[in-house]
Amino acid sequence: MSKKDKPTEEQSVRYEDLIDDLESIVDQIESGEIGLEESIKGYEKGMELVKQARAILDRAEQRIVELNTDQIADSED
Amino acid sequence: MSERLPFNPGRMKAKQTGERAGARDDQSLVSVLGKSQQANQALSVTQLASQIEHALKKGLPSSVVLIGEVSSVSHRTHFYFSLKDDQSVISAVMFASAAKRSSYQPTQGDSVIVKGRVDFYAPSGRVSLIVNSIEPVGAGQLEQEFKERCNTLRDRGWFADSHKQTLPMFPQRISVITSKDGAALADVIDTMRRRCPCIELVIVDVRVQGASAAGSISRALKMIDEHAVSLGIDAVILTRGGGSMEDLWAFNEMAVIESVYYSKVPVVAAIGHETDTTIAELVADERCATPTQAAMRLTPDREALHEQLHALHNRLKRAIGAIIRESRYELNALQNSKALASHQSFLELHRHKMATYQQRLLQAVQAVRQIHINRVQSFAIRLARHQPSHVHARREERIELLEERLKRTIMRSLQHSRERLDAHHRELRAVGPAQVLARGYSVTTRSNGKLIKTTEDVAAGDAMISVFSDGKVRSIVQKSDDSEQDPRLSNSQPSMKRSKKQSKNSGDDPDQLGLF
Repeated sequence: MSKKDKPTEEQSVRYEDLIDDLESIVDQIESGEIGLEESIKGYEKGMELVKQARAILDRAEQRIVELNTDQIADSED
Repeated sequence: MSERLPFNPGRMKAKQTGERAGARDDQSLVSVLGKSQQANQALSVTQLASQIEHALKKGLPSSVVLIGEVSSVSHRTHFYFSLKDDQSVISAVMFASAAKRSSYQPTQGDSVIVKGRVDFYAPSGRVSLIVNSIEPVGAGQLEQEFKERCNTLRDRGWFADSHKQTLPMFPQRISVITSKDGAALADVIDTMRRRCPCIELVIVDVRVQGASAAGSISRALKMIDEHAVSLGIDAVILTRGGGSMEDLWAFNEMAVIESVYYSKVPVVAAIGHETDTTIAELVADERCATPTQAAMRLTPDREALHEQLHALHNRLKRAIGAIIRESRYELNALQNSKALASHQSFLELHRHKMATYQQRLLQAVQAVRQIHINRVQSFAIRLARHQPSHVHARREERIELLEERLKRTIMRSLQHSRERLDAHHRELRAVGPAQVLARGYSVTTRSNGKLIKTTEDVAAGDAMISVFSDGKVRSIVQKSDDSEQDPRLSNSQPSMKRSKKQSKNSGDDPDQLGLF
């Protein structure tokens, strides 16, 4: 089959990073150490992260790529 | 072992007597024995079998290793076969539990080494070898090699937990290094699809068995490790299905072990069956019993993730809600605070002051404006006064006034003069010639009015006017007699001649006497 050139854009955002960011935003807002305006900004960003994370989880179709080691090796040469 | 014996007399009896069977076992036996003296001394088959079993256990080691040739193989769930050499034969059985774990299946004619224990199987009255493990002759060499390599690597610390990398919580791309045609791959794909289809699989087809397998696997591992970033691969599953030690031997080769060990991408290895162990698995970051387990180990449970996300979402909403409520509360508190209130009153004061100033300013401006208006108006008035018509009117007025004054003054003056005149007249009359004239004297003047005092004042022919108390007489001097003549006589004559005209004139104005 074909080899994949680059990870897609969606993959470039790691789910773990999304969750980490989301968690730290929630922590920050919960701590009450940041101001209202900052909190609202954080909230908006957090909601966006939730959306992205859901989008990743909800992707129903499993993608399977077959990689040919020789091709990779050749292309590297 | 006794529970396996279907001919246990006690059990047979027990079946007949139902529930009480257990309690009566010994009694029943005694009663049977009691019926026959002979029987009293004889062993039952089961007893003998039991004694044989006991003797075998006692006389033989619990575990024996046996070498022999496989014959009479029958594979069902359990492996039944015989081991023989040129003189003897012994039946052997490898029960399913052990058979499943074995990578080698006994094949007719193979020389094998088996490990197991000798057992007397009472139901069939047979002594057989219960085989725990079996491997073809020669495999022992591999086993030895395996052990040595394990020891070396353990000494190097390659199996140490400290070397193990943490697996990603949620890999998005996993590389599966295995045979494209193997059942292991199917298991991995199936598990992943079930648990979390959002994870992408990158399959690298490798040989998993045979001479070239180690090189193929090692190359694949190195390639994935090298390109992990650009390929976006978070973890590797190295797997294959069950097989003999020889089959799995590639995973014990140093090339594969090193590739696994040095891989910066976490490697989860699941090679062979649960009981099989390869060094690659020991070196891997995570070892799993089966391909399915490896897939599960790396695949987060989507439902759990959804729950986690949901929880975070709720926390986020609650947190922001709390912040907003708090801020609103603070705002209200501030609004109601004394400081702000006083500030507001301060503001109010200033607003009021401002309004006052504004008012005053307006008034001042209006006042100034009024002043200017007034000045302009006064200028206008003054200017109007100097208008010709106005000036003329005023002059006329003044003239009238002056005229009036003049008239009054003149009248007063005339009156005064008249009064003075009357007074003088009265005085004059009192001392004047009138009284003299009234006594008979007269006054003679020349026609020009000049008083004739002496005869010398007239010559013959001169006209004279004599004034009497009751009128005038015009006369002409006939002759002047300077010596003896009474002037009164001479005067009396001419005075008789009175011209009508003169008389008339004189008689009309008796006041002419005043001229004296």
